[in-house]
Amino acid sequence: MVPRERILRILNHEEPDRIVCTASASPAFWRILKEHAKEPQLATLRELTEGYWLVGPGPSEEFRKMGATFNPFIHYGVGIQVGPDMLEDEWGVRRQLTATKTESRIVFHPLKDADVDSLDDYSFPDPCAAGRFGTSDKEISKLKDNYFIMGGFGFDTFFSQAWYLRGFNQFILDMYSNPEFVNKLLDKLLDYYIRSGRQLVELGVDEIGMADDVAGQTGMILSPSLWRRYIKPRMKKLINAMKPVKYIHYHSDGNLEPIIPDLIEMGVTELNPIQPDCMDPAKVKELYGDQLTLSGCLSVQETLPHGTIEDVKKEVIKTINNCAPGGGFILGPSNLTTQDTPIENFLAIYETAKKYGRYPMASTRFW
Amino acid sequence: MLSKVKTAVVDLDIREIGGLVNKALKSGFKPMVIVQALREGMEEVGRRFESHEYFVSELVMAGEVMKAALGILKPFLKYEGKQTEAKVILGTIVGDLHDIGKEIVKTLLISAGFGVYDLGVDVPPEKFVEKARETGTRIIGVSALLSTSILNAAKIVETLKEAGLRDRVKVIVGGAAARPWMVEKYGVDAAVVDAVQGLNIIKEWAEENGAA
Repeated sequence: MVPRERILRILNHEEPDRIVCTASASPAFWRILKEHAKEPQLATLRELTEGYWLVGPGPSEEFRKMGATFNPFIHYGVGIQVGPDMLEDEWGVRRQLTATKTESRIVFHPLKDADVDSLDDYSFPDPCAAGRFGTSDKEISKLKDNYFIMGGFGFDTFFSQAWYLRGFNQFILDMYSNPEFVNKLLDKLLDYYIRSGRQLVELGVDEIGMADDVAGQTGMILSPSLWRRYIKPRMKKLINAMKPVKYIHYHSDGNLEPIIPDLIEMGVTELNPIQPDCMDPAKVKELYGDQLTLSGCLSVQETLPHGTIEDVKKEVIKTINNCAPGGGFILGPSNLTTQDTPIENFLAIYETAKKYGRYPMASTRFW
Repeated sequence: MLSKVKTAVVDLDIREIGGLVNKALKSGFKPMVIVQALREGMEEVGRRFESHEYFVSELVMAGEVMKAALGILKPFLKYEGKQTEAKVILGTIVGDLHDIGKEIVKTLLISAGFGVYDLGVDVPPEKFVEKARETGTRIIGVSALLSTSILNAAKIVETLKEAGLRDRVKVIVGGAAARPWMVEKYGVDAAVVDAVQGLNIIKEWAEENGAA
């Protein structure tokens, strides 16, 4: 089966010939894996993860000329060096590395002192600037026949990007006390995403992917009512503007059970990463599996870093049994695999999926 | 009057809180009595968070309401003499820069009457222990979102042992990466995934210690 056809079957809730996996991992983990993993195991990983291809906007030509560099250990790490281990991205957000040089955090929010009027003075990056989609265009032309292409925005959307620009506490305070500012900022972001997303649609992507971390370990970060007031209407407009693309992938960490029905209602067709430490993939499958493709579902907080190979195998088999029947399921680490994860544990995902992930399955859960 | 102050915290009413606190002061309520009403409001916010009626956004907002109220009360509190307050050392462990959770815990602690030494983010274990020795603080709260950071957090326990302070100082790990089994495996005294759970445990410890 051609990889693209396999993914299409999965997203259409039909059973393909076998499971497809993702291999989400931090740059630090990839470095270790490349140094120590053996070729037959890597070949299995490549085989199982083949099919999805991600494209998205890159830095503008102008930003590159200004000296933008890339640091894989910095979150969204394309930017101008403005201090030791510190990059400023095209939005003016500054991120700095930890002492261990493996993680980063925001140290400057460009809109921290802005008000409704001065927001007009802030210069948003041009989503259609020269150079943004050159690589995407080439990759899509080359791979479209064999691969399923997801187009992303290159960074987090709405709530996340708004607080990157404004500051976390300040943006929440704004939602309660300065709705005019919040509405104006989110509308400007919506305009950016629509213009950026339309480029992807014109290039011929099969799916639009959007990320926005609105939930945490035990529940929503943003209350469902705030999310419905400020984020949902704009997400809905964005999804509508992406037509005729009919597959919409949405990523948020954490437990976002309260808003899953809203996501489905708006047209989200695939949910990632469904952290099993936060919400039960089997329950999500049971409640929404006929409308939503589940992507991820393996624990990067417990089983992968702290479990044994046997624990990983058990979790993979259990997750396949619970979530794979009927299609609508892509297996993988439910976020970036961290560098404390034994590589044998990570590779066990793909070995086990290869062995137990063939359709039709022995599981009798749904038939 | 005081019930209105408490209600403003529970209702996250940032617009009304300043006026209500000023009115309470003018009505002759002692600043510490007003602080107590604010704390009762925060306790209710914590309960609503635990019952999933409130979310992180509400905890943050309640913290902003508290900050606004305490900002007004601060000059008056000085004249009431120094409060005997329990102290907590807080920081995000080296290798981790996530500070949203730490900031929430800090606000909850201050609101509950604790003094906080905030060491910031990306903090090595030795810094926590140095601060405990220097200040005599008996509770260390260490934040860790990533599983990679947990081992560094566990090193605080070893460093306390080497410094001969382990019997005096309790260590709580908080954050998405924290798991109850870490108490046994790494020898920390508690491991929690949310801020309100953390606050409740620290309150218990402070009561056991007396103010420290």
